Amino acid sequence: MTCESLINRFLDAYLHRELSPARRAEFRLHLALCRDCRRYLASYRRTVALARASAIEPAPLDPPPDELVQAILKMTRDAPPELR
Amino acid sequence: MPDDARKLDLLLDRLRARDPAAFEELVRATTARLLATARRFLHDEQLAQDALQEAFLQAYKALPQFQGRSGLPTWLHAIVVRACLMRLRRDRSRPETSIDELLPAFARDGHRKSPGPAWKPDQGATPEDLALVRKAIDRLPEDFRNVVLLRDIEELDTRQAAETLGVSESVVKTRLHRAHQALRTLLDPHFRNG
Repeated sequence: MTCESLINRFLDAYLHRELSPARRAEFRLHLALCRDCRRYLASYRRTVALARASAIEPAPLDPPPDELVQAILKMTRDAPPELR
Repeated sequence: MPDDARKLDLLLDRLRARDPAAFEELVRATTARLLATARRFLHDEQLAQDALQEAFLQAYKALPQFQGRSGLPTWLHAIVVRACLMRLRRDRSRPETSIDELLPAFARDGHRKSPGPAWKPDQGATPEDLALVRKAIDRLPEDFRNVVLLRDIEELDTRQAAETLGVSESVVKTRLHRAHQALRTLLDPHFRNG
């Protein structure tokens, strides 16, 4: 297994525990021998964690603009009779 | 199911009967969160509000046929996301970086070119870190950004993301992996040691 195949082909499956036992062993052997891939894996894992953490809203949500709420309600009130 | 979601599902019979008060309750209870979702996809307040109006009209039309399998908030969220994606497809005007420039490069022997130092130890993400991550997500090419938004931010599973985007689950997985690789490249200058 090369660094390229580890990073491009097998890394995602490794993190999702989708590699066969033989491929997983090969992956772990490469990691044990390759400092660059260990570093890449650590930074990749952290990237995924940061992306997920960034979903948290920085502040409580503001109430929606009242004009928007009114526009939505008006639009449905004005909808053709068969939709009312 | 959270209390708010349960309350909304209890509205369903009234909504199917086109009770205007029930629809107003639904709009008031869900607009703030759905608008936040639309803003994340569209980056423009007016476009986000337009997409939301369009989505609510679609939802209003479709309510009598809504089976209730997914829960009302999930169903509405999917309609809003699809309305945003439609708008993005209509207006592909944003200049984009190619994903290839953001993917790791390899020498012919399979080693990574210029691997660089390790990242600084993880001491928890600060609000500044998270703001930086949001900006980096916004810099991803659109197809890749949409997958990150759906999977990591809006928390859809692979099947739901594939359905929403109209692609196969394997395409979602491949795009998400590449998007994470690209995001790592964009974050590297900020988090690397030295």
